[in-house]
Amino acid sequence: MESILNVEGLTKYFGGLAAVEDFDLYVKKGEILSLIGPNGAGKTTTFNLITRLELPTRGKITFKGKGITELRPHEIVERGIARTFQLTRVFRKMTLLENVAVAQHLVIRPNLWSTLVSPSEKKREKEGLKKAEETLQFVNLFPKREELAANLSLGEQKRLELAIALSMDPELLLLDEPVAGMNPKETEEIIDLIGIIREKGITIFLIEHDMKMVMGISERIIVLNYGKKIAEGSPEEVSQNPVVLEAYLGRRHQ
Amino acid sequence: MKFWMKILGGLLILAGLIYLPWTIKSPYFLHIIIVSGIFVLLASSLNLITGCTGRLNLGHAAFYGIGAYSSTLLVMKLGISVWFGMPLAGLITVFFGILIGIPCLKLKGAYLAITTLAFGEITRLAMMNLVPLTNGPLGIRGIPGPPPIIFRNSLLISFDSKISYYYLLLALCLVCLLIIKRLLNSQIGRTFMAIREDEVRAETVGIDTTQIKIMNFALGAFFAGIAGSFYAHYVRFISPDTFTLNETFTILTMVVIGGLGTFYGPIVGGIIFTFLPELLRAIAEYRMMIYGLMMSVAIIFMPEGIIGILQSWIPWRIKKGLKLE
Amino acid sequence: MIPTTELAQQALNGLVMGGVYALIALGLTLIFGILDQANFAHGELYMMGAYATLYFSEFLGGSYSLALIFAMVAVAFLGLLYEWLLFRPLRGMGHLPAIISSLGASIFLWNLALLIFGSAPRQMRTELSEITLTFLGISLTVQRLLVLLITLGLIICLYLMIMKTRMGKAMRATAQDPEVAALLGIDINRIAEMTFIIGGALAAAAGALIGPIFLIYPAMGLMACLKAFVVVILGGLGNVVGAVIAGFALGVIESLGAGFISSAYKDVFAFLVLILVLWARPEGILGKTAKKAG
Repeated sequence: MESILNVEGLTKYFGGLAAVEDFDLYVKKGEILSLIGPNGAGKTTTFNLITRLELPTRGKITFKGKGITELRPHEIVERGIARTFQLTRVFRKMTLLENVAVAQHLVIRPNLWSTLVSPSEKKREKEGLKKAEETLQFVNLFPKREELAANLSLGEQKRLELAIALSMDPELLLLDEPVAGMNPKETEEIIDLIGIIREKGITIFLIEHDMKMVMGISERIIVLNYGKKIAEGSPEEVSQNPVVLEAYLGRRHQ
Repeated sequence: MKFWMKILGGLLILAGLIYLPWTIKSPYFLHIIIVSGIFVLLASSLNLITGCTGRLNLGHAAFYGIGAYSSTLLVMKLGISVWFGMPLAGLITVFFGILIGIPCLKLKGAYLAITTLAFGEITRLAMMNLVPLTNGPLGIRGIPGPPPIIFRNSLLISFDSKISYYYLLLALCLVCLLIIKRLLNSQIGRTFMAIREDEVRAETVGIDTTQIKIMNFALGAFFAGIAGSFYAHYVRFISPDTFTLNETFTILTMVVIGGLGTFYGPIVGGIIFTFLPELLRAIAEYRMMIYGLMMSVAIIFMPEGIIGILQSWIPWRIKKGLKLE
Repeated sequence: MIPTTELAQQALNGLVMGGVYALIALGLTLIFGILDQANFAHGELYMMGAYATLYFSEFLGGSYSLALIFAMVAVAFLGLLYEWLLFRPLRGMGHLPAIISSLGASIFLWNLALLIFGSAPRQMRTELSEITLTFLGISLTVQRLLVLLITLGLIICLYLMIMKTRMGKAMRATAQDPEVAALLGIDINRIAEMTFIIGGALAAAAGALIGPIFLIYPAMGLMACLKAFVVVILGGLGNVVGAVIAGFALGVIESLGAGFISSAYKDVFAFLVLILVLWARPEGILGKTAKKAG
């Protein structure tokens, strides 16, 4: 299987501190890859670098064979990468429907003239809204579609983030701690959703702390500690790896 | 069911507006109505930039003035007909909107407010000092009104009386407001709101914030320019004194109290704050004070404006129809 | 060939004005740095300080220095009112609401002043403006010298207060990281009150000091506020040293520009500097990363 995302030598310094150092990774098309590591290991920074919210100090990122390190964040979305945020960032004073609909920006591609003048543009927007409703139904938020995003509970906000990401019609989905703070039932629901998304052919790259979930759904796991990759492999391999255990548990031998 | 109710309501209001000038005896009262229409346009245009997109533009009166002066100079110095002068003035104002919008792209919050204020003041100073062009503080007198419209040698609409101006403004307002309404309810309108809520997040959902922010400034500038152009050919006299910081504050008050980011808010605000000074003639010297006080009180206690208050009173069914407004 | 005495004279006048700008900007930058809010009504504190000094000095039988102190106290209280009424209700709600609320207050206050004091500019005469010192062809009224001295004195006091006292440390902690500061038990409301008291007192001092040199009029706060914002942006939001340097720098630039290029466009220099700086560096010269208060 080909790799859809390739990261070489990714490095980011904040002041004198290396958040991420010489990080190489690849994501295979269609797989579910998890990135784990203790707090502060540099996982979210990696996501930020891939989606260009931060500029890498060094390193090269290619997506589907083309370099994306120099692009602006919205151009990354255009290429087919969507992400969710660990601390949910939804558009608070907009309704759920509007939140999801606005993320279809690159799918609908409105322009000023056609918005004002062309009736087919209006039709496309209506279809877009319908698709937004379907997406909300998929994440089980349809009944609340006219509510303001600010009124949602944490679990609902995380599901909204997922809906927003799906709206962008991505090929690669970056999920940053999709079940953080959720109870077991909510976690189960998200896991099911991720399974369905994966079956649609979307590649999934996720960050998580919930080990049960990670071991359960990942095909491959990468472990990061102090900005460096310390292990990579299948869930069985990684869970047996002494280096990984030491990183998580401190100076305790098994 | 709701849909044809809205259409019927709209037609009734339209009919009322068309009939209105014939019921008014006092030309002065009609003048106030016309002025309120101008402010409705100004408030709606500022709302696009500040209300919907959350970018405070304290130099908005500059767009108003650029529209007025452009139209005047095109007509009086280049001999262009007012009917061409108006839209051209709008386009010239768009040009300046983009010119000002570009350096403002990376600015937000207080930085943006101060910079736009600076631009507004620089524009006013230019109006005062470029005497060969603008006649300086004395202003320009004797601006011609629009030439008469002639239909097949029989029907003649001449612009001698206020009533013709009223209908012209009514037409302008209807067209402009319809465009704005369409914008607010469209995908583009949603991108404005997304930028207001969280600009970085907006980028990460695929919005080219640079392009949208410039488009937004251009649109706000356009409608303000049109309002300015109408003003010039209606009042037939313009001077830099009209396009001051005070004017921008007044327009901002209209938007804030009416309802930031709503469609009807600026309309309500524009009308109320044009009639209010007339009703409060006796306390005219307190006017700006009251506006300032109202603006502070409003943003603290009723940040959604009058429209926000109305929306929480009206039962939910009708409210659904007013959503996004 | 620009005569050097002319140059030095203008520069010195610029430093005097610059000190005033620095005083106003200091309060503004503290409010930005510690509370992350923009006070568009700051110029009115300066204006009120000038009028307060004028009236207090008449009331107190002509004692300028006493009037200055009373004015600082009175306007410090006004600053406190700002915090209670305009800023506290909107804390944590983003930038726009605080801007609008302080803008409204600004409009309210200077129009109120227009009503109470009338639009005719007033003069504050003190004996010190009459005495002029001359040195190497450069002249300076004692009043202007006093402005420089008092300005420097106040700046030093502020610096010591921020660096050495417990309150100052608490303010710096809040500026660095409000959440951590709260966890450490620092009460942000007390900090906010202190910040506004200081800002009010400094702005009032600026107004009091400028009174005898130039004219006092109700709208004087507007332009001063604008220029203070330019100074704050140039020096970096929350950067106390930056505000001082930028304040003096702006004063000198303005003075030289007015003296040698054009005095009609004097106010424009501040705007031009602002636009140029923001074009090159939208975060300001030192940016928000230099959020330290020292």
